[in-house]
Amino acid sequence: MDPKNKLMNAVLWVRRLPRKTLETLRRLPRLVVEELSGIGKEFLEMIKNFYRLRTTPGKRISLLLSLILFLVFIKLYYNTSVERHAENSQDKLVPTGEQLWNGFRKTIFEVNIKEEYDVNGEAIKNDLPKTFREARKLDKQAIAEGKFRNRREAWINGSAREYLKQGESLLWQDTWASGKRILISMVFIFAGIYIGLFMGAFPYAEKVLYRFVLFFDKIPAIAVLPILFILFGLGETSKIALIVIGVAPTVILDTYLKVKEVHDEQIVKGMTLGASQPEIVFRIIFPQIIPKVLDTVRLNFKSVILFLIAGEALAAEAGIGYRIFVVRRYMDMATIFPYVVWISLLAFMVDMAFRSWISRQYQWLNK
Amino acid sequence: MEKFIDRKYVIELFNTYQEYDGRVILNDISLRIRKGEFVTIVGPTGCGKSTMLRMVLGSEKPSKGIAAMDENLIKRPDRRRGIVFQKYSLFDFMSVRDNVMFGLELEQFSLADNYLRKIFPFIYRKKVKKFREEADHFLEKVGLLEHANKYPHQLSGGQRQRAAIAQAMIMKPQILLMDEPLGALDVGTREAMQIFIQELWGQTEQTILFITHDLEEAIFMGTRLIVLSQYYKDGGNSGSKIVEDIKIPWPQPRPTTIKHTKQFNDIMEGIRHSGLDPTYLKDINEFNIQHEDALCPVRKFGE
Repeated sequence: MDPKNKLMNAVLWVRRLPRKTLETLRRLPRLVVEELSGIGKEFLEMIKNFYRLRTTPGKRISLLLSLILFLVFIKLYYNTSVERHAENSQDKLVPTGEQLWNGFRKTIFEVNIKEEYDVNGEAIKNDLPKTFREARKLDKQAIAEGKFRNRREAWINGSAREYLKQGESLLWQDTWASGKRILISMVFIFAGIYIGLFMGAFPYAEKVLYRFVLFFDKIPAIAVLPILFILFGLGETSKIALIVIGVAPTVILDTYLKVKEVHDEQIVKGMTLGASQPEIVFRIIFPQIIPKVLDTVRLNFKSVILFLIAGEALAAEAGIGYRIFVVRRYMDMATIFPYVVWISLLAFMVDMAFRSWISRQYQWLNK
Repeated sequence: MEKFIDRKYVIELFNTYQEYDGRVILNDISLRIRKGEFVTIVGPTGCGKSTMLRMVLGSEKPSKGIAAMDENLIKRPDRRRGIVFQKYSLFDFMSVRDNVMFGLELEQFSLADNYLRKIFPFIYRKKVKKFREEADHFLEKVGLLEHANKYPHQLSGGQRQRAAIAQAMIMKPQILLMDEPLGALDVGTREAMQIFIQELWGQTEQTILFITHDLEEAIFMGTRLIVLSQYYKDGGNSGSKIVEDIKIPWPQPRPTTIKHTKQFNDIMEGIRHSGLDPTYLKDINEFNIQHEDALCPVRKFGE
């Protein structure tokens, strides 16, 4: 579909929206009845076929069934939280919804104000507001008093922006620190794809590398962490090395196996079409295996994060793993929860991006 | 017969043996193929038809004897010999047109060109357009022009083989090798493809070496039929020999009705009895080697 058409369709959809909404509202009672009766039918079906092997559950009941365990989990958490707070209202282990929300706000929305010191080592006090909300309040007052003409001017010259300039949100700082480590280690992991490619394609390279990589693959990376810290110091190098040692051998070996899976007919065919040796490797073998290898990298993203957190937990100045293990000392569950949710969400989003990129870029895979 | 006088031999095999771990597969195969010939090779399962083809192709070296093309030893697969396999001839990651163009690209572009092409496509536009036109010409010849932008997995089995033939033919190989190309097709498609390959051969005079396990197909298609079999007297485990080498009399292209004539069936029955029947063992002197290019097997001294 060409973009102009797409735009037209979107416009038409929006213009039709009010009438559609009204229609839906009018039909709402009947829709509800239909849905409920549908659920009832599918429920009966489920009872009848629960122990059957080859059945297809209905759409509505499938959704409900997949939600059950989540709901049970939330309910259990809620009950525990209420019980513990009845005993001790200051309980931190199982924070209530309000405590969690405050934790989210503290880590995500509030900036980590950098303190400045004077010559004597005493903190310089400034009269800037302490939270973003206060700053916004000041701005609104200023608009009401007529200091700024409109909201745009207030944003440009006001105290809200001044407040944000003082520092960054804790979560953002930590994400950036961890993200840098992941990005650098990803470069090495992608280099691993080429090592695997050469290993699979050239028998002599295979003889040199295969046993060695296999050996490295079997070393539990966490166990060598102390060695890495001694060798590379407590800086970034050791953390990146941990991720690379933990994940790269898997990627290399997987690429190697994928290269071995390429049918010999394809290579012979390439030779009869006049392909040189490097052309066979880079124009026949590589394009066949790359989407599968990217899938492996995607699945190994979990171990990347695992090793990242393990490395940061021991020694770091910032980072998601570091923060989680620091606030653990104060049993600050209200901070740990947002971090766990955030890193899971990040991993999920990266995974989704990889997946959609692969399926879009390599359409020949969709057999 | 006069037709042959000024034609060269393309492929020559002299006393070639092939053995794996001491087990002999091919025993003293000698064969010469002239330019423009359509040779079909048939034989029972496990007789080493594909091994022989791989020797001609160059992906396997004979353990004894000589395999030569244009009076040079065959060392590895190269662009003078095209191949169509039963499966995996096409590259899954390219569209049909790109598959057909691939040979030309490999010939004209270096690897560096290929990467530069992705960054500066305009430098190569003229050349690519030429390739595209040539590929389309070949796709039209095999009747796949309307499927040019599809991926191989979107094609049917017969279409895929046609694309593979176009992909091999665009390189203008001196000989086109086909390793049971129609083995995985259903009966109807198979017959259509048989006629199609015959017509293509008639138009282009491409030398073809066609391997099949289907006797009817072998007789129907080729101008020269070679039967490879391990069933002969004293054969035991000593590997396959060429037991029949005959000229197929009918002019090309042949109508499918020819398959039901008495003469056709007689030839088929004869070969089935003498070449492919494991219970009937012929002496080496009784081999039916009649073709004018054939090299007669010699009973070795003291045998």
